[in-house]
Amino acid sequence: MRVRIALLRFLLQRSTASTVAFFCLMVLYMLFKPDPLDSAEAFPAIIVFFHCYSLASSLGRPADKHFAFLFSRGYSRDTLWLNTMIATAISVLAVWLPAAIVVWTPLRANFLPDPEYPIVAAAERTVPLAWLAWYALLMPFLHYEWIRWAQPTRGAFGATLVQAGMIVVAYPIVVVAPWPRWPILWAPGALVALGAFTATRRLYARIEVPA
Amino acid sequence: MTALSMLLRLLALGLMIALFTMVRSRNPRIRLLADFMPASAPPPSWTSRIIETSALAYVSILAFVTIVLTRYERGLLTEPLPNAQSPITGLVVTVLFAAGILGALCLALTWRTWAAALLLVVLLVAYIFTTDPLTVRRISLQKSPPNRVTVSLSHEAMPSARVPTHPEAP
Repeated sequence: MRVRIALLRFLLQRSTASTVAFFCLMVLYMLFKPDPLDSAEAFPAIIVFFHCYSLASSLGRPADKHFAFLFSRGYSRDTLWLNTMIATAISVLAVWLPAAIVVWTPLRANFLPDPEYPIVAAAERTVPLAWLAWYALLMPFLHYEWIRWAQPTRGAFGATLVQAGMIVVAYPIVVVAPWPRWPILWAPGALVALGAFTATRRLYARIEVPA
Repeated sequence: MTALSMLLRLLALGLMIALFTMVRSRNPRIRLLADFMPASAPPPSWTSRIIETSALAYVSILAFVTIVLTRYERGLLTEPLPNAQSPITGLVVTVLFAAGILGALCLALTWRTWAAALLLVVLLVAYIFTTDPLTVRRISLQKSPPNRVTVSLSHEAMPSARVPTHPEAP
């Protein structure tokens, strides 16, 4: 299990278009939103969800032809899994980090003419951490679903149901229990997400490679 | 009930019926949640079972907490249902939600995922019917009729609110 630069580059190329699009959306929203940011806000949550979905479908779909191509190049499944996860992490950071930098530095204050902004800015500092928490909660489940569908076992719709449930629940968890005010609700979610992440590693070894 | 509210409820009902039809249909073209693996395929691994069951349990618990919190914030937890002469209160409705979610969880734990999904959809529609903002507005109108308005003004507290008297007034 090693990091292969050529493989990583190939995977990152597949997610570049969506990452650039969501990067622009997120940064522009941060720069031009006149009201104070809140962790219970719907628009960044929607961006995070669609970005996660596009990443999972472009990088982590073993039934896709690119997986068969990579498999034929001689990469082991462990190496493929590791590089897919690294490419996902890099793509997430490429969208999240610039948006967080806009919030954490005076960039946003310079764009907003509101004289009260320096007071508001202090309250906004924890908001980017909430976006990162959404990524951490959603991404493992979206990867898990595709990997589960590529297993030669019955009942793959259970993974789809879990994914749909997480999407339905993502809205109330953002609005009703915004991070980090309700750690009792987020902590089990983090555990389950960690479990899903570990399961992707275990299930990757039994993926059925398309012909 | 406004036309929009009626339309939304009809849409929710239609969605529920369509989902039920698609899940239970014998026609493979429209059947949802069809398992593409043959019946002779091996059952899911224990890793899959544990992850999917724990995720469904988390989703169910979170859905219940959300329902209780929303109903509490909107004042629907202990209030009677609007326009109802029955003794059913909001608390009973909340308990019914809890029972429904527990049932969905049990179904998921016993690997009847399609039944759990259907029950969750039914609960979602019931939630829309019993917790929507229009219902809340109706309850608040019933609680405070518009002809009972109390205004208290104090001239000492609000000097700018003094009414200027006419110089020729007695």
